[in-house]
Amino acid sequence: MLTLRNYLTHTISATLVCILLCMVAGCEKALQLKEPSTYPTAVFDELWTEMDQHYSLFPYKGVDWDSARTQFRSRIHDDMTKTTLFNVLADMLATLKDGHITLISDVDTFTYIDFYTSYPLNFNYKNVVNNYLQNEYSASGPIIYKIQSGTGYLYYKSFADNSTDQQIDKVLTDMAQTKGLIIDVRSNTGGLSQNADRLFQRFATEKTLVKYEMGKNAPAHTAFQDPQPYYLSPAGQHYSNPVVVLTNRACFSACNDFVLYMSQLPNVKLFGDQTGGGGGIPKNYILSNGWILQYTSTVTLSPSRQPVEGGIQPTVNVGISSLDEANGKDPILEAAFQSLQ
Amino acid sequence: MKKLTAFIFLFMLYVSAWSQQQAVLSQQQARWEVSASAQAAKLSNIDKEFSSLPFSALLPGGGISIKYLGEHFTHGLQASYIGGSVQTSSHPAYRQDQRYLNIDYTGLYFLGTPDAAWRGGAGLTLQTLYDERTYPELINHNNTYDFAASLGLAGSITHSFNNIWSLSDQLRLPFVAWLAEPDDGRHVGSFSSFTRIKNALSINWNVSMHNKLSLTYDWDYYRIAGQRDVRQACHRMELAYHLIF
Repeated sequence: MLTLRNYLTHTISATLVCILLCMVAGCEKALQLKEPSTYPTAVFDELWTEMDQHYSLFPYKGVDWDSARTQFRSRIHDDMTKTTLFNVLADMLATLKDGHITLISDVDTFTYIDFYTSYPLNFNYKNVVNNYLQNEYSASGPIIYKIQSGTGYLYYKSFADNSTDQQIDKVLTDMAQTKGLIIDVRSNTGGLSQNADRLFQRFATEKTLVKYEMGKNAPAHTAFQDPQPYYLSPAGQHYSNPVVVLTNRACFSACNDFVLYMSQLPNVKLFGDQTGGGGGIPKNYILSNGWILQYTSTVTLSPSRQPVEGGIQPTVNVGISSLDEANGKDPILEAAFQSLQ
Repeated sequence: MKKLTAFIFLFMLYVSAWSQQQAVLSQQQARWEVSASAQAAKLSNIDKEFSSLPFSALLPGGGISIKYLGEHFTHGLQASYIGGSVQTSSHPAYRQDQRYLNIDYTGLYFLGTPDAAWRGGAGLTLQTLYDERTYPELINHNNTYDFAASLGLAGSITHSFNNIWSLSDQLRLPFVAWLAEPDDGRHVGSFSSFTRIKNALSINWNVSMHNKLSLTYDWDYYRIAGQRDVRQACHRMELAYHLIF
């Protein structure tokens, strides 16, 4: 018995040592925690593949990404300068016409902005402040506001500027006696969605399904998870009178979401131009040469499950002509004010 | 399902053998061992959700453990934590704040008597890991984690030189795991989707009847394959004090 036990002990010991040596040698090799190549061809392939597998809006962009690779990779060679590489990558990314796409490098930064620069801006902040607010207004955090002839005006420049519950409640407490409220989010290019959520919650009357968010679950362009519903509940100082939200093409991303949410309330109308879109959550990826790529990684759907990447249409389409702007006029603001009288 | 059945069979066999051993042990003296350790770890990882660049650094850590040492059976519960910032060597401006927590149970059946020069043992291990990573330089989507609770096999070999010094090695290999990740949700993974190898090589010094010191080189590697591809290697040196009673 002892002989058998000794035999087993030595056999198990020898086997374990062999397994251990094989595992350590084999797995260190398989680990591949090496620095990746930073040659231009490798960086191009890495960026193209990252977009190919994780970018969420291919089904809505009508871009043949394989053709883009063929077209732009022919301009890549390993002795090209960083600036030239950057320009080729930016050109390829621009074909997707997505304002969430950004490439940040040590030579330049690319962000797609044609989604609003190709259209009339329909907003002039100086005209609003000088001619309509007459340079007299209150401020609470990032929000400026004024009450005129019993109608409130609220301007939120950017959802990248954080607001607190107290700051928003201060504004709406002051607005409590107004007969209507204008919320101006023109040229608000987005920021933190929490700021958009917080503002919307003052107008919601009940827990509301405001959107669906849909992420990818496989590399194929059409491989998505089930849409995930997103609800917001009322919070803070409630405002229930008629509301007009002013929009333009530069209302993007979190601002686009805010307009989507508000458009579902019965006491809200949208005036101006359509919003700029940005229907999805952006994410970042660090390329092997250290450049940061930002792109859209989810698809935002309306409660009726329609994509909102193309923007939200206004209830009343109003624009500002060059002549109006030159004369200091803001027909969108005037139309909103009239509708609330 | 076959793996689960095999595991349940092995586990029942193991519990049965252990129960019988308790009767024998009632006439012998079992020991308990508690320990605390200070650790230094070279931690490297690649999370392709965020970058193909490897992030690594030398980080401090600590651990505690409790062990039951029978004549043939040992049961050990270990917890360890490593935390700090790791960087890319090529672009040090990018950093990742990382927290890596392990809690492992290992039960082993040893052949040979405790005073034998060579001892080999095999048994089962239940391992859990939680690895959280945050990228402060990125916006939105800049935090992620891996959680894995796995069942596997463990093997150990010990060589005692003179009852004062000994050299031991313990290898743990999970064969089925329950995984949780922020984007991919929760799912069961086998060796192809969750690979983990943990090996600890120790030099032990029995200072006295009730005191022991050990120096351990622990190599801990895991990979989660799928829509996200995460790989991490942790080379850890651990100096531990053991109190035996």
